[in-house]
Amino acid sequence: MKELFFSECRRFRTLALIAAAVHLVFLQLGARMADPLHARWQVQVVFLVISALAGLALAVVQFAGYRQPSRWLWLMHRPLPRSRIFAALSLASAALLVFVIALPALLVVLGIDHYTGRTVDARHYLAPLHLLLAASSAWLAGCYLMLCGRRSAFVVMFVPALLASHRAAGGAMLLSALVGIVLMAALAYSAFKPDRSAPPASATGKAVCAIPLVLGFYCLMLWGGSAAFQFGQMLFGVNPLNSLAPPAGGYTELVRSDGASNLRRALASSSDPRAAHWGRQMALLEVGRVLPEGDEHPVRGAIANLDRTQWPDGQRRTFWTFNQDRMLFEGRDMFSNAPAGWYGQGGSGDLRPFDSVPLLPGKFIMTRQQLFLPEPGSGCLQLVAAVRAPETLSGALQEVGRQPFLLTNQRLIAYRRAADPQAPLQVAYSVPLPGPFGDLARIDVARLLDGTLLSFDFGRHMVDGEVGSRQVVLFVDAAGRAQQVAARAIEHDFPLLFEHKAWWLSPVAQALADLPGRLLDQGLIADAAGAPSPARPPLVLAAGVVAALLSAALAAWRLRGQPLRRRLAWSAAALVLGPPCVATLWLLETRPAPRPAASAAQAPSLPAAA
Amino acid sequence: MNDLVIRTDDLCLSYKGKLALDHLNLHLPRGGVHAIVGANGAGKSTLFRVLLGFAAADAGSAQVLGCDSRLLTPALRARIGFVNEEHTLPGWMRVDELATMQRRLYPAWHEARYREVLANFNVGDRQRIAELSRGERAGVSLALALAQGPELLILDEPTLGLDVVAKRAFLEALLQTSLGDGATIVYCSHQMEEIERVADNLVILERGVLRHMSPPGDFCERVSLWIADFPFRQPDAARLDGVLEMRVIDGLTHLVVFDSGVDFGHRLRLLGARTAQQMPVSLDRAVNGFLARGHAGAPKLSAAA
Repeated sequence: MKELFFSECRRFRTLALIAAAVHLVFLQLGARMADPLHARWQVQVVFLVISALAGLALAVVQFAGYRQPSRWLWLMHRPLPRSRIFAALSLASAALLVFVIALPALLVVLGIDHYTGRTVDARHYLAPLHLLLAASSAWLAGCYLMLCGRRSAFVVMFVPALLASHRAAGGAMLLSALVGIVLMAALAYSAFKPDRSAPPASATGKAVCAIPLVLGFYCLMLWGGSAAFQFGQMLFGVNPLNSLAPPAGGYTELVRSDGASNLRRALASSSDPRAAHWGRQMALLEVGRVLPEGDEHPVRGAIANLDRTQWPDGQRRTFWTFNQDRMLFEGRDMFSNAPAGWYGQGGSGDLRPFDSVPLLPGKFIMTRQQLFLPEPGSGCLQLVAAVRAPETLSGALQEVGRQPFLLTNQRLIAYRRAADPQAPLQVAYSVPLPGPFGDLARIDVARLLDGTLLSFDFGRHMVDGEVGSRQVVLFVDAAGRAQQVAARAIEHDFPLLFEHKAWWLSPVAQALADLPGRLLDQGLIADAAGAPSPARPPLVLAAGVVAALLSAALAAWRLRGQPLRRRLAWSAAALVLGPPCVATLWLLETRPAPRPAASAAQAPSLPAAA
Repeated sequence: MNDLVIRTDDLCLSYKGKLALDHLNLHLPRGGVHAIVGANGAGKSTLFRVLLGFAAADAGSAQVLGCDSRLLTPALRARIGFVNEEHTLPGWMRVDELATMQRRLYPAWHEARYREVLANFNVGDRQRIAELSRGERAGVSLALALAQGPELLILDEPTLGLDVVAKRAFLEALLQTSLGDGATIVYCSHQMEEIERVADNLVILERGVLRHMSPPGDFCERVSLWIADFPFRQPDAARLDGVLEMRVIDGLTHLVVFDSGVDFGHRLRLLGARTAQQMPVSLDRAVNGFLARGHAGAPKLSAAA
């Protein structure tokens, strides 16, 4: 095994040296031109994708050779168990990836930390490890793709992507990536045998292989099917998002309309005697809006940055970068790069740490429960608003007609400005959200002479199967009392089965695919505890049952003539996992060739075998 | 101890509906050199893939050294050597590195034999595999396989694509090397002169079916060439029992016949032959005649020149 390991390392040593040098130069250049450690996640993900592509490319080059029948025979026909041959090749590839991917990344992080004075947290030292795990996952997936000989097996690539696409803390993400590595390793090992086309022999082996394949096919069917359906709608000119005139009463119309139109539409169905009068007033009013600015807050220790982590203080000539280890902003002089101290809850020089990793919306600094405004001259940090956990801020102050509003996951808070601009804001009123925060698209605000009309426009997640989305109009009187004056259900822009596709396609696969998101703390802003969501519509439930039954029938048909036990096992699995399981069955279980007839028609009748 | 090194019973394997092995019953006894011949597509390489566990049969069974070919253990693989036509070796390694790797893998490694075989080829230890010519690669491949001390050595068209010199060196190395008692070589080739030189037993496969198995000499004895002179109308002699091939050359009818006796001459005379002469044939001619019957590219008997 050791010899095979060294042989494989030797095979790629020149390539590895070149690739490592190129990677190091590329990273160093990136670090000089930008600051990848503090860039937004959209930039950082490029490095992850490049690492994964490098791992995939290595597997393709490596196994494009080995998969040839004669080379495969040379590799596998030796007095070594296949596990050890696989281990030798895997470890050699891992060593190469450490050298090409992780080592240059670590050197660059060390270089930034020791020679530039830029802020480097402990979390940043996990980045090389993450890049390595991404590359290794892709290598294992590539190994399986190259060896199993079935093009449709590309779906397994979705699994590491599914596991990596979260902005949780670095340690938790390492665990998630390791789960991906284990799944991919099991899959690759299943194809790493002399007869590569043979399905895994044991039931356990099949089950281990089936998990990533089912997840992969689920993603393919869900996203591919969704894209195909929407493209089809566009071709026929009936896609609500692609039409000039969206369907009446639906979510698309709601978000495309201005606030006054939305309010008029809701008030038209109101039984409140004042509704008609308000409706007429709308043309004269300036209707503003309050938007949920985000769905999540950064998680401490997350390598990927949700938002920018730096802000310039021009008056003090300081560039502040958030340091997650100390939960303070770390200052550097803009021109000399000299250290400029720390910036805490009280401002410059205050060492009280922030209670959570802050976001920087506009001129504000916002943690999960506190909103601050830096005072440019004094360097102090003014607390503008604060809420108690579990209530969470969703954005900074938004002004409608000079009245500031603050939106949390539980309520909309309206403030009154004091005469003194330095004086703290006074709460004028606050209104509980009449629906789940996650489904809220926006709030239209119309200020009247005797109060305010607020239209809460829900339906953002209707396309993902959210049930019971409504538009609710509240009237808040001068004393701050809120009263519901109109409500209407939002019409579905898309067919019900399209909106609930993720569920009826395979409820179990959906739960599996959502599991990492549920287990990992991603800093998501939770909905306020309220009434449970209405049950799924009967049509969707029926579709789920039909999909499961059809899948089971298809599995049984596919395995006709096979042992009853195998047929039953696959049919039961298809019943539980739905269509993705049938696709997996197609890939894993090759149909046995029909048993050849007795050799009657064998060529020459001439001489009998002697 | 099982007396058969290879045993297949009713072995069937099809690729995309085409039978590559068709109820093959092959029982090869231990010891000696067994030559397997057959036209392209006869199923020789497929048979080796099944025997080494690299392809699963659709039906039937295959055993190597007494073990089910699907369940070959690493220890059993150590007892089976394999040299293929491409002489696939890792091009990035040096000859000595490769030998060191194999030496550690195979407990029965025979260093003297490795050196002895390699001496037939102009190969340096420090040379990279990728720098070797095809003939030199074949030599290294053979040296490595023989040095493993295999009980069963399978050579799948090892001299394909080699020039005359390399081919001669390869065969001489093979013939000069004495494997252990009971060692068996399965030699697959299209080159009949090689078969004639090395084989103790001849196996003819045709379209996945075993057609014949006997020592090459015995086979040659059973095939003979009859030259008949038909002064008048050419009879349809190809329909006679045992005729493998018929050609008319310079007015004389040449018939390659299997298992014909003196009776065959009488039959030819009864058909109007003025003279009928029996002659021995070379192995090449005998095998070619034997395979020509079933080969897709074979000329029809009646259309033979």
